[in-house]
Parts: sequence; structure tokens; C-alpha cells
Amino acid sequence: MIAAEPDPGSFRDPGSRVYVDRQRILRAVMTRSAPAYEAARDAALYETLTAQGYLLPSREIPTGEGLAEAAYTLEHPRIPFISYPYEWSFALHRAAALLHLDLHLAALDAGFTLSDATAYNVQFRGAEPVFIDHLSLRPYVEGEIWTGHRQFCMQFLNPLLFWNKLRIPPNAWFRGSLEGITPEETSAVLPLSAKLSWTVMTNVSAQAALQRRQIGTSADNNARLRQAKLPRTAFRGMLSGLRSYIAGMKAPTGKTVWANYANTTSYTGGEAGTKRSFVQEMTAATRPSLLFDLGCNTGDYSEAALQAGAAAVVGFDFDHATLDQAFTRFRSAGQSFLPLWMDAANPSPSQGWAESERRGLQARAGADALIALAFIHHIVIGRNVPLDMAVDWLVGLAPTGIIEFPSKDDPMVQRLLALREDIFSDYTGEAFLAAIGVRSRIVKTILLPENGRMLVWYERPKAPG
Amino acid sequence: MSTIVYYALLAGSISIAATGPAYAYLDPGTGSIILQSVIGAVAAGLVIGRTYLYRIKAWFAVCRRRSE
Repeated sequence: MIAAEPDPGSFRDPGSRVYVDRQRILRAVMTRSAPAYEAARDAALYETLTAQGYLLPSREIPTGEGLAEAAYTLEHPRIPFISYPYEWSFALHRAAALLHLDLHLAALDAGFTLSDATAYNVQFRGAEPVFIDHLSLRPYVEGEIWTGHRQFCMQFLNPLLFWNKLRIPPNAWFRGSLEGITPEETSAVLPLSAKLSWTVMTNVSAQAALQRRQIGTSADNNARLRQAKLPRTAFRGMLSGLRSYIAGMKAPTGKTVWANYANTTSYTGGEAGTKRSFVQEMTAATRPSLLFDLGCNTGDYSEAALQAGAAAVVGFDFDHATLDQAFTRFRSAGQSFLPLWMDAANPSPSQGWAESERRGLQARAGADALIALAFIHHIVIGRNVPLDMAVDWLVGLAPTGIIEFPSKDDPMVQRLLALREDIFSDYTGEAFLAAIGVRSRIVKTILLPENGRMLVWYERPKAPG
Repeated sequence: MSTIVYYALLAGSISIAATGPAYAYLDPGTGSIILQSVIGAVAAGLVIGRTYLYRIKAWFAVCRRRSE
């Protein structure tokens, strides 16, 4: 029997729970869920959906070797980094929504349905979305309604409408409201022109109006509602209608901060080449199973790290348009790169139930290496974080890595200082090296001679024992 | 606009019957349930409508054959 720790984010379904046993990911199938599990397993549903790339692989552990409290124990491969929908850009969110609908349509055709529609059940392996909750799949009962419809709207459709119709990133709202954005809220902010579409009219406006008018209705009414029927063809029609609507959503076209970065930065081709080689040297020496790329832009240096042997890279940036570009680029190349939205001065916190249901960046970290190129001046000069605190945070994220330090003479730093008083007397190369030296060993330093940028490869001392 | 849609949907939602499955740990939301029962009723209506349409077509076809 295995005695593993339950994952703090897995408690809502009393029929199934995820456990972490060192590097192993295990799922307990409780007695109450055993019939649904057996039905799906015996119908080869898991194999079929896994072969289609929709579902995370699973393996049933022989009875007696599994979790003590479980009727069955499943083992899953580990996902390199768990991400949350409020960290996704438009392209990731749309890909996750389409995966969810494709999986549900395939399940329905096989006589199964999903018991919910939470976006947290979609994760990314590299840039490929995959569904992770096997016990959300249960036998379909003829005529039953789509239980997860409202949840699908709140966690997929409505955030995508924020992007598509309002050109507002929904991330800040979603992060504050972990169950998503309600149809009532979405209906209140969408312009009339957006509501002329049949999909929006029914799923947002009508649902919101019906929901509002039902508040405070009698118990008799609820008893009647529990008996609502939806024919299978109409169920399928709702899913495929939403699928084609979401597939047709265009990326929001806004001016991006970084889209022309490669053209407008002061780098010459030779210096970019030097940086690439340095990243590859560090990556080849450390062979990280997970590398963080802070300020990843469209992922040029992530690609270099992947080529040099990083098993998986998670990139972070605060510019959605470049994240979308990176996503498209790496998804078509099939490389293990996941671009996520993050403001380094305010990373995702640990939140939700008991402040541990959705973990913060620090709690999920687990990177073996990091690169932070053309990054530190944005938090030190852009956000007034003292240099030693910025270094402290970066070195704390991964045991080794490369941090770039652009001096005050650098044109990009000059741009940050152009409209404000220079209060950063401590922002010097010497102070940077001293801050690194306090927390770690400097393995190698290189200078980019043309603009005085310095790149430092650090390595934290190994923990005693 | 939304009022018309609401009343149209509400009118359709009155014809709900038969037993359904017990809901799991997720509250589907009353707005969503009513919406779906209306969609279901409309879908069922379309099927019945199509059946009548075929009957009417068949009747005309028979009439035409007789007149020939």
C-alpha cells in the first residue's frame, strides 16, 4: 500500500482524489465512483481518448499495491508545470476550450459525458492541451442535460468573449474570481453588437436573464428543474455549435509591447548569437528537466535551451500578444514550451480554499534552471524593486541559471529612465555581482562589449546533506 | 430584445417532464437548466415539425399520382 499526500487542489469530487508520492502522480478512485470508472475502462474509453491525444495516459495499479482508501488506483505521467486559466493568453485559452469540447463530443459518441466543465482540468504538455480528470467522465443517461454548461460558459466562453469582443484580457478578473466570469456579468459588459450572434444570445444573454429571474423561486420550481430533459442530438448541437463558434474566434489584434522587439532592441546579430551560445552552454551542463524563461518574449532563448537539452521550458511574459505568437510557433514545432502570462512584480499567489487550492508561482516552482535575459531592469527600474531583492527572488526560483544585467548606459534602460527621476543609485554592475555572490557561486560571467551588458551564470550552494 | 428572448424561452420551458439523473457535486445553475430545457423542447419540436412536413409532402405526392 502507498501512503501518499493528497494534492491540496483535489478535493471537490468525493469520488476521486489525486495524490502525490514523490515524483509519482496517483489518482484514487473511491468506491462511489468505481462503477463509472469500470464502465469507462471496460468500454476502452480512456485508451481511445488518450490515443486521440485528448486525455492524459493512465495505468491501473494492481489491487493491493495502490492507495489504501481507494477501490482502484491510477497512475498518471507527471505534467512538467501545472498552469491555471488566469495564466493563459487568448490562444492557450481557446486551445483549451476546443480540447474540452472535442473530448466531450468524442465521449458523448461513445455513450459517456462529463460531470463538469472546469478549465482547471485542462493542462498543457508543452503547448499541447490535455484533459487530466479521468473521473469527470461518466456514463451518459439518455435525455440528461449538460450539467457543466454554466461552468463551461464561466471558465471558457465568457473569458474568450472578453478577449474577442471587448479586447480586455480577462486574466485579472479570473484570478480574482476563480470560478470564472458569470453570464450575468458578461451580459452586463458586452455591447449590443456582440449579442446579435446566436451563440452569445443564448449562452450569455438568455442564460443571464433566466438566471436572474430564478433567484428566490420556490422549492417546487427547483424540483421541476431537476427533471429537465435535453435530447442527445440537441446536447451534441450545443457542444458542436460552441465548438465552431470558438474555433472561428480571431486573436485580438492589439498593439503589442514586444512584437517588434527583435527589430527595435539595440542588439546586433552577433550579440544575440553570443547569448544563445551561453544559454546553451549552461543548459548542456545542467540538463534541466524544467527550465524557466523569465521575460521569454517569443521564446528565442527557450528554443536555444530546448535544443541544448532542456526537457521542458516554461516561459513567462506580461505581453499577451508575444505569448500568443510563442504559443503558435512552439505548438506547430511540437516543442515542449509553455508560454504563460505573469507580472513578475505580482506573480500568481496561492489562493482558493485554505489558500492552497491553486498554488502560487513559488509553491509550484520546481525548475532546475532559469534564464532571465533583458528582464531584471524591468522590475528594478520599472517597478522599484531593490536590486538585491530582485536577485534574491530570481536565485530563489531555481538552483542555477543565467541572469542578464543591462547597465544604465544601455538604451533600453535609458528608455525606462527617460520620463522619470533616476533614484537608482544602487543599480550598478558591482552591486549586481555582489548580490549574486551573497546567495550563490558565480560559475561564469560574459560581457557583451557593444552595450556593456553582463550575463552571469550562477549556481546556488547545494543544501547540506 | 432580451425580454422577448426571455419570454420565448420561458414559454418553452413550461413543458418539462419525466425523470432525470441526480446531479453530482456541481450546481448547474437554474438559468442554464431552463435554457437547455427550451433548447431540448425546440429540438423536439423541430423533429415533430419535420415529421409533419414529410406527411404533407407525402400527401401531395399521392394526390399528384392520382391526378396523373
